[in-house]
Amino acid sequence: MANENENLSVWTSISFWRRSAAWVTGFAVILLIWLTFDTMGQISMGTDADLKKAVAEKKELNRVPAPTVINYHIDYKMSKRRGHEVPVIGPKEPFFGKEWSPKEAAALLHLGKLTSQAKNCMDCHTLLGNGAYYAPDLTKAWLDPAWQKGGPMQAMTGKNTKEEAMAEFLQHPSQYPTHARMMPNLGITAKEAQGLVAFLKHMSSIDTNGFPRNFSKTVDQFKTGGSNAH
Amino acid sequence: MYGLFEPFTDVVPSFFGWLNEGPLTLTIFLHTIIILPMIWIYFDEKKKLKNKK
Amino acid sequence: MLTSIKTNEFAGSESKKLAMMYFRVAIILFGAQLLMGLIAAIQFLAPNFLFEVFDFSVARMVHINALVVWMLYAMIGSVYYMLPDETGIETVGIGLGKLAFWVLTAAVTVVVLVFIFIQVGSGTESSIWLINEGREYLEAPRWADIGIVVVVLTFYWNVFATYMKGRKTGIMTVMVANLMALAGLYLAGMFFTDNISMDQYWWWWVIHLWVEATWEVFVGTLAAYALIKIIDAKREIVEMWLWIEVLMLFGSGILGLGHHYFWIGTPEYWWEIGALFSALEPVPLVAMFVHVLYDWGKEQGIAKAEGKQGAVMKNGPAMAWIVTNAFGNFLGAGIWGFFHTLPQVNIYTHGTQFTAAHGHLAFFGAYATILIGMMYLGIQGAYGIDRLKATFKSKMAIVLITFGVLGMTVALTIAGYEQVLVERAELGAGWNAFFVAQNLPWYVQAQVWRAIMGVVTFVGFIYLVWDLLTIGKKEQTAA
Repeated sequence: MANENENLSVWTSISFWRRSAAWVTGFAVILLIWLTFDTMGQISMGTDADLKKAVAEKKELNRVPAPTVINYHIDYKMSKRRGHEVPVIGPKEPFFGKEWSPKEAAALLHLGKLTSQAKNCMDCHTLLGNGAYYAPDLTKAWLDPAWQKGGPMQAMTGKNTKEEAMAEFLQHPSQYPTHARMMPNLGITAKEAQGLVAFLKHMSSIDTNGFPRNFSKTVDQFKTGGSNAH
Repeated sequence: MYGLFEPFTDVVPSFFGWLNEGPLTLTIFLHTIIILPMIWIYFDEKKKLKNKK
Repeated sequence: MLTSIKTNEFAGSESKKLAMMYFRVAIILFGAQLLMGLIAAIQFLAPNFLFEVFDFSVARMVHINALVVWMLYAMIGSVYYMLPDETGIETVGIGLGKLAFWVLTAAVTVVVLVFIFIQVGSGTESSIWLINEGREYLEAPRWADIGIVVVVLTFYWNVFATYMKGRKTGIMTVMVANLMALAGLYLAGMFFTDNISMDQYWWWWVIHLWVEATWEVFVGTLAAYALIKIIDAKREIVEMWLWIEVLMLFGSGILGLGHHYFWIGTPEYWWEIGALFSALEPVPLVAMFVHVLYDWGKEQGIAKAEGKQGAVMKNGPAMAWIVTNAFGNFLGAGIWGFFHTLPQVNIYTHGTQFTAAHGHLAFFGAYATILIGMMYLGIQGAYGIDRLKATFKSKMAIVLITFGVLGMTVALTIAGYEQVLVERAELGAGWNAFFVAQNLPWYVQAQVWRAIMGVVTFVGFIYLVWDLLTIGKKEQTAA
């Protein structure tokens, strides 16, 4: 077994593989850190000023906009340039009947994000596609036609705006069944419900590279070959 | 050409976004700089083995 | 297993006794995981089952947390078991190790009780500190996070100090370096931010860099140790393979993290990075599979050439589980992962039952199998048995559990296809689209099969516990 050639083979040398493993691991980590710095810069929340500029110039400036995005109309439209749907922000629209200052909006989003964790939304729903698969994905839930004027969910709650309908549903989910599988009552207060709706609206404004694709065609639109742009 | 080279369309320009414009150039770049130094490790180990003999 | 600590066969190795303590809690939590899974599976079919008493979110939370925690217990147990063998000395801080065991077990008990009885809190910081952090897999409240870090540091110090004092084998070198990364990564999941994209970016550092990098390397070290123990594989060969595996696992797995960054708000360049690095993740899993079978065949061949009768294997059930691991890791993590790792596919499959199918087979194939194998190794040591043969119960356990998990995986894959094509591709992922897909006859049928296969798995689990409790004494008296 121990002939000259075999002892000279680097391929069976432990130290070759050990050094290579150490190098590859170490360098992959360094690359990941480099990429992380680059990505951190891109997914940090923008400022209110960025947002105003983006709306005025009709351009995307941040992947994750400032909390004040709740003061704007949000749409999700096919972008020829990007090759997939992107959030389209503006013009302004009232949210729970008013315009929220940067401070108020940030506080509301904070409450909403905290509530989403305290109520464990993620172990039934998916957020940005991550979580459990027992209930609908919430990434673009704010844009779901079911909640819009004339949509079944808004009609069911008897409210006049999308945000009020969603807040009402969140407080008394088992009063508004949409399926044999219902959302349980989690003791969500009126204020927490507002926060959650703000959290959902903010999430729908995040640039998710086109996920989910073809979002929220209704069954009827699908049957008639329609699109979901509205 | 057939969408292999794409203009930069992402939201924020960056080095990685620029590398991503060519066909697989970003991933080839990353794989190469990870794997390439193994060649040097290989010849270094070979030298060591010969010296031992 | 129950009397395994009192057998005195460990000849005073407190480290191995401590290992058995960890294994025993692990198996209890494994049972809890399966029970919670059954409840959740029933709720898919009968949504009124325990509605507003013990909701799906609670069952699912305990299901996945029991999974992670039993695996961590079995991993810590495995390390304490192999430490004296590998380093040649007794673990240095065994008293501290035992204290850490009781602290961890008390903390886990409190967390589980809070999950089950308090379930959710109000939208305040204190809920996240005391009740539930609400981030899938990392639901443990912050106080428990800090407790876990302290306990893990104690454990790590034990391993590190023993390593420094004793013999430094290649297996232990990988173990010590890898455990440091594994423990350190947990810190990436211990903060709160209002920015959901940022939240998920770091959340994946813990989840992905655990299960697709450091845990896989951990499995590689366990397999290396077990092959030496069970079939007398040559250390030089095993350790060379181990370094190759480390190279390939970390080389593909670290940047393979990119496949979780396709749709969470992160830049488009992650498509290419995530796709092509994670596509290579199955390669080391093939290597591990080949390595195990190659070594087994080789050692068997040598024994035959030397005129020895019978198998070279010293522990039948452990070897059976390790071979299942080699295959299951490749199939569950490798194949089922590759299915939906490319962004072109993933834009439709992300967040569907497809992911659940992959999750079930991967966690079972890559981790549950080898950790059960380590438990059998522990039993063999505890009762001082030279050659542990599989009993009828061992065989029933491995056949039923493997068949059950495979069945669940196939069922969930079918459900996933239905969901992907109808909810995602045809109807566009809205609220209505979701429920239309959930009502499809083939989807519902698949969920029925999942529940049936869950029961099969549970029956297998009962055989497993029964076997672990009895095999030691039985084989000891037989020998």
